[in-house]
Amino acid sequence: MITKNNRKIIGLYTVVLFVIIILASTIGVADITFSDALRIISSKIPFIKTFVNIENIKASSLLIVLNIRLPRIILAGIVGVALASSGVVFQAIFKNPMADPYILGISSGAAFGATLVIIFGISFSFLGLSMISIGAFLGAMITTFLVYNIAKLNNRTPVITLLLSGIAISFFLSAFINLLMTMNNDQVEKIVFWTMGSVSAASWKSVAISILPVTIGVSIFVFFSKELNVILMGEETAQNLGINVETIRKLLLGVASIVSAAVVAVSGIIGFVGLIVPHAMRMIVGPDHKRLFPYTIISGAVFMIVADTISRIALNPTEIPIGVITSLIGAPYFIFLLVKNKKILS
Amino acid sequence: MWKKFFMIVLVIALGVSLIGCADEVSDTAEETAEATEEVIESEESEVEENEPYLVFTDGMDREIVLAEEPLRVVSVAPSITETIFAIGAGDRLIGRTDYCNYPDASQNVESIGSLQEVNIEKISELEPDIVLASTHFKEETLNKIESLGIPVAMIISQESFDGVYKNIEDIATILNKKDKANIIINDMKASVEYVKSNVEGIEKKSVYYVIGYGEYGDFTATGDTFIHQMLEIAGGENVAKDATGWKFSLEKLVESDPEVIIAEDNPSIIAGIKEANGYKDLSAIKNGNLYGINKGKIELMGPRLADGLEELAKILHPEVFEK
Amino acid sequence: MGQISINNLNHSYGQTQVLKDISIDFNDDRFITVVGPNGSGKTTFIKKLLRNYSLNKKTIYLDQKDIVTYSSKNYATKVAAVPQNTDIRYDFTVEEIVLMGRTPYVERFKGETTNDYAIVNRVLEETDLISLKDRSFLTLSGGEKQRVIIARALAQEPEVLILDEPINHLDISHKVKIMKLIKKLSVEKEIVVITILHDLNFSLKYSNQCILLKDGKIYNNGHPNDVLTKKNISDVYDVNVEILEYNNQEKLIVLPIA
Repeated sequence: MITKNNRKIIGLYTVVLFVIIILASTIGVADITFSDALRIISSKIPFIKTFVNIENIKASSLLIVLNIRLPRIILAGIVGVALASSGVVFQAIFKNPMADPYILGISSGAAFGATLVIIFGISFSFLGLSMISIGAFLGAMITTFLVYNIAKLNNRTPVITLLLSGIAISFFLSAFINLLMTMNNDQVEKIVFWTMGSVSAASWKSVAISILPVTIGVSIFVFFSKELNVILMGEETAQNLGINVETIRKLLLGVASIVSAAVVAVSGIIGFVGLIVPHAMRMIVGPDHKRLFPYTIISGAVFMIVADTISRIALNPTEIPIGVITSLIGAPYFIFLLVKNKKILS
Repeated sequence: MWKKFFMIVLVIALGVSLIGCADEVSDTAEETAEATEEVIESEESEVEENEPYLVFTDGMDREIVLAEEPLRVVSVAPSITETIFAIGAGDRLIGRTDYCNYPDASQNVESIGSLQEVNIEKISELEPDIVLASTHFKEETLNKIESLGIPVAMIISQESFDGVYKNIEDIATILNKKDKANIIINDMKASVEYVKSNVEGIEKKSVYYVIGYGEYGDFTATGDTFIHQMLEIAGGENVAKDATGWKFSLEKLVESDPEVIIAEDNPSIIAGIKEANGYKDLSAIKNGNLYGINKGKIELMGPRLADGLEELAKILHPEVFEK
Repeated sequence: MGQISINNLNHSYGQTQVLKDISIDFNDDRFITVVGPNGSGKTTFIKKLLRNYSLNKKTIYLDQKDIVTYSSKNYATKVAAVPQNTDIRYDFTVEEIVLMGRTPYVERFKGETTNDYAIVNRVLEETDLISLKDRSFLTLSGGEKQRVIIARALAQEPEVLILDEPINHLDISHKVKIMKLIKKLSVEKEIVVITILHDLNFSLKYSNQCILLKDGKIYNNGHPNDVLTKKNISDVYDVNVEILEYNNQEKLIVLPIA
């Protein structure tokens, strides 16, 4: 149940998110003052912009804040929302709080697709989308499809078989990628950079492309909050309560896979967000998906934006790929959660 | 059911290929052992009879003793391959890496693998008199090849024009082409002087050298690289001079807004940079000051380096270098 | 209401046939126990009744209607299940879990109504859980957990309640409490109760119809006193027991110390 109190807190949290977005856009290696950055942002907000004068701000500052920082901050947020909410779905469907969006092979599939594109030197863009993104997305979707069909038995897909199928295919693809890297030594750096995950190439175009599937996908997730609660009780129990488990599972896993593949395609493989954000939120607000989703969605965005900010300034002017930061923060925090909750988990 | 069958077939296939490989390996080992015995015998007998052709210290302070002038040479670096052809010893080249693509004649020579993973079997099969290698060459590989009785000379110097001259000299010394090498080196020195004298006193142009952009990450010739040095000699002010480690920040690039941008003269890369977020709004792009350059002239420590320097200078200061 | 009739029910796992041609009509008796040795097909039987396993048409009828023709939601308003293990690892509250029993009734855009909450409250009272309403499920004892699952099933307001060994892992005091509760509810709410039990004495004491399964077939069916005889038990379980009579009509099965 979302009580009135909860609604207020979520509303507040959303405001915090916007504040963080604005703050993050004032931070960076370029020499732009805090007030300049604020003015630049305000000049784009309807109504407020009439009160803001940006005449004596350098053109490069405008470009940097509006075309480089803001798109990547927002893209980072979208990726966070997508991965965290998909993580919630995967953890519910697999009834396992250790599940994450990459469990069905999306990450290795995307990496494989991207690797092929890089190796064959395909660099033109198609409808404004880079070939790497398209290759990664296709790789991810085909892999998920494969994993699913290998595990399918008489129109049902038992959870354990799905998991094993995902693991097996992931191993295979990773090995294949290593083979390709061995045979194409000069492309290794590019491949490794992409797989580490980065939003440094973010543009308003990539924001526009990713925001649609993510918004639709997340809406679908939230729509099935109640069903997910009941599915947590057990598949047979859910069936006995009138829920069409197999259909909902297929639908939600499919949507979650598309949503995750879409953001992996534009940002590379960013780990831990889809695993720890839902997990941490569940420990704080409980397992009811009606509450879990809003908090996880906002937290996913916040986490990624903070991680991106760190990745931009920690080793000025070198940028650390964001996937490295999420793992560096995520893993110790996760261990901390595990230790703290050892009792409850057992 | 078919899934099980497929799995079994896969496992059997893997098993069979592993056994096949093991067979090959033991065969090769036998051959190599025999070959090594022969080589050691012949070297020993020669050393007793005559004075060696050359006693030489290579770029890693290793002493190389060559009984005779090497007529069969394997090169494990594009710069070395280029140099060998430049000094007129191209007919002696019997092996080169996949990445050696200049000059065209080099494509007729057999490949012995990549820079990092050389095919030792292939090398020994070619029976070279010497292997010339550079950076990226692994110590284990070096030891293995030497244990087959094949001498290896490391052609490595500090990354600078002087270093390139030394490398060319070293290769020429080994291949007895010193005269030709001197001509090349003097030409190069003259080019460098030409550039230096003509940019002296002229206002430097801010420049950025694109190695990677967009989804491949923003990589450039940071201040710790030799390319940076070349940019500066050519009369440029590298906007990435304070950065290290090849990585740069797009924000910093936009902020510094260089007058000139130089990248690899590959049409899809040039087109990509023009469209890339952040890059597309740079003055250099808008004013048509994005130039392509042959990577081989800039990034290889070889005879074309001076040409590369001249091209850089022409791009940066066209008014001065109008001929 | 809650009238079930079964015609030629079969089920196989791969090559093994686990249910062989089971045909039975449940008469108006309200408390039915299904007993039999391990592997006799008891669990498969009730999973077929619950439609958890695939079912042929024209095999099982509820209120004269073929159960495969019911929609999932509709069937869930008629038949409720209390499974054997309560493997819930998420700390929902007792109320939240029992409220899930209202799932087949709740309309998506309306959400749970005050009526739903009222039914949940009533059911919590009946199962003596009202004081534990806001407790996390994970903090409850085994007996309390079992009552919560029963409460959830009751919240479905079913005509038929199907339980799979509901008292197996409980101590004697809780065994008795739960059996008494189910019996009371079956009488008061006129729900048909079908439960698998291992303990034959509980079958004797509480149920008024007993189905004895052996090797996937119905070995005997009728009043427990008539079904659970020394001979039948020996034939089916291969164990020799003594049947003691006490309190006039009541029977007790004991294992002689051999």
